[in-house]
Amino acid sequence: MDIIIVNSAEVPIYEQITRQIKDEILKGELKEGDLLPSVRVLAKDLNISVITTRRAYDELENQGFTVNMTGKGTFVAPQNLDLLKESRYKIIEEKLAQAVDYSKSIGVSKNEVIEIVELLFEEGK
Amino acid sequence: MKSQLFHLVKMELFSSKKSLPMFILFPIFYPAFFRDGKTDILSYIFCIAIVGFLLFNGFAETDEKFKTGIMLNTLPVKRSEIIDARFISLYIVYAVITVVYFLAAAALHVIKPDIFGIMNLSVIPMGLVIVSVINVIQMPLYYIFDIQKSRMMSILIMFGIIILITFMFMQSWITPIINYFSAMSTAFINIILLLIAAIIFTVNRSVSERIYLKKEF
Amino acid sequence: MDTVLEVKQLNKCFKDFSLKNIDFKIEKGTITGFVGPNGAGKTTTIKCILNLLHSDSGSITALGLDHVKEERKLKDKLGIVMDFGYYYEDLTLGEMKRLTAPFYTKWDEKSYQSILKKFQLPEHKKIKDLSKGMRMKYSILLAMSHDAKLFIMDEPTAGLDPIVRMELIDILKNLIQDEEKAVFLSTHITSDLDKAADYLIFLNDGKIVLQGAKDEIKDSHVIVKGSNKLFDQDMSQYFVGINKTPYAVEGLSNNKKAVRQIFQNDAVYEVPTVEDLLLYYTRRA
Repeated sequence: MDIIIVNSAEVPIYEQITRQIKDEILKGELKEGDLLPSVRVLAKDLNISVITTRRAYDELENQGFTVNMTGKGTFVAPQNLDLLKESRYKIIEEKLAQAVDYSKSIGVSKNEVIEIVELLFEEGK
Repeated sequence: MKSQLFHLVKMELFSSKKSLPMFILFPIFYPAFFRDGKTDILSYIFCIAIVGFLLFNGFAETDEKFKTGIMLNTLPVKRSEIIDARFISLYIVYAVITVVYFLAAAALHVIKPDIFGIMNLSVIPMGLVIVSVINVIQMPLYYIFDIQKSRMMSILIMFGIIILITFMFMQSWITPIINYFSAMSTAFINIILLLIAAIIFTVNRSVSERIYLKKEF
Repeated sequence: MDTVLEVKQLNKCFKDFSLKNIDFKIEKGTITGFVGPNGAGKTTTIKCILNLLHSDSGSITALGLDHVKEERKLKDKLGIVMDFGYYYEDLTLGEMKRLTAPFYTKWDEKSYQSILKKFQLPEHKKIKDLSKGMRMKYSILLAMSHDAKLFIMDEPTAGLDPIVRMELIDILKNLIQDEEKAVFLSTHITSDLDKAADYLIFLNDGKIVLQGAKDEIKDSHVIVKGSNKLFDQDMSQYFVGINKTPYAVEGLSNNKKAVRQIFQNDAVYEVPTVEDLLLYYTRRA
């Protein structure tokens, strides 16, 4: 799990943590049933206050991404598959948007781009 | 909760382990150099008086140097225990000094029986009165004022008392009083002296505890 | 019981200084920083808690015990570290320990020995021959060796170099990992608190000017930097303080929404450090 905290006046630290863990769950890097580090250990490792990690975890639970089992810890909750799919599509869309923007700017046509995509999928096999 | 007196006394005596042995010199030299039959009592009295004054002074200086006020009061102890422990420490040293004095005197008697006689136990009640007076002057003053002021005031007061007593003894009206007391048996005088010492001690303890309880560090 | 220390309406008057209506709570499993400039009254407050000074009014309860009526029982469970370690200087570390250990009901010799080794303190050395850093470690060692539940520290990191300070902060952080102990430390070195504190209490001139969870305070405040032309008199209501230089104006606001609306993209926004908070809240504007 990667969590990188920055000192930002826009996004409070607890929200940064919530977002990054949420992303990992949606990307599938954190799977259902995975155990998250305790608020204490996370606070110590990130060098922040335990009050903040607790708040981040509370947020995740409120939004349904995690489940806290007293005594055992915080686990990734079973995810809504449609939501997962949708967010994954969003990520693909974001990445493709970059390629499309670039192609437009240098004058490469849509068909040429589709050809490249088909070649890439072939390579995978 | 268990009393912390033992540990406090141990702490007080152990922390002064460098300066305490020096006090042994007094009861060793006094019997040898200041005894002269009749001045049996006076020699012991002076010895214990000087020890009484210097000993408390030494404890007070250690207090100042290491800020024992704060040190001890962060430990789980009652303030009254701190005062009681100080009393116990003082009297333990007095007891040791007295025993050494008697032993030194006895040793001298064995060596030169014609010059040195045996010490009379009757000096002890008088000694107790003397130290209780010295302490009742020094202690409360020290806990109220700082060490320099209190030391100066103690010396002045003690001098004042010595001069007063000397003056009294020169007066003619004192002679019938002295005769009256001389007529009493030694045992009776000793009991009265012990009583006086106990009363002064109790007054000192209660006054010092009250002052120390209110003290701010 | 989650509150390990509760100070209610503490007042203490001196000739030329007074503590007024000091009110705060400490919870277990946390590090609370007590910040303020020199002379603000931090040591006075701590001395009142420890009954070294007698408060004029107010109540102080720690670990469920009254700080005066059950003083002895309480001090048995307190790990106290004063800014200057008060010990008999001519004694060795071992000798001093042997004198102090018996006072505690729960002295843990095993724990003492293992922490002694970890801190690498020379037990046979005289206390007066220790460096300041080692002295402080020794104080903390003794405080940690009798199963104390609440640690009260007065300027434990003052005069120490950054490396030793980091070591000490780490030690404190490890202390509260079990969620049972709590640390209350006063300091004017704000960078230490930025790293370690869960809660902050800002003291100035005998009064608490700000208190709360560190991250919440940081989230609700913002440093606004912009050109002189942007700032005018009306805006001062949203600012705790404003600092003008020949080139720019900087201010600390406790109303993020309002200043965002006013300045929008014309100003730069930063998260205030504990030092920023201290300076702005204690400046005599």
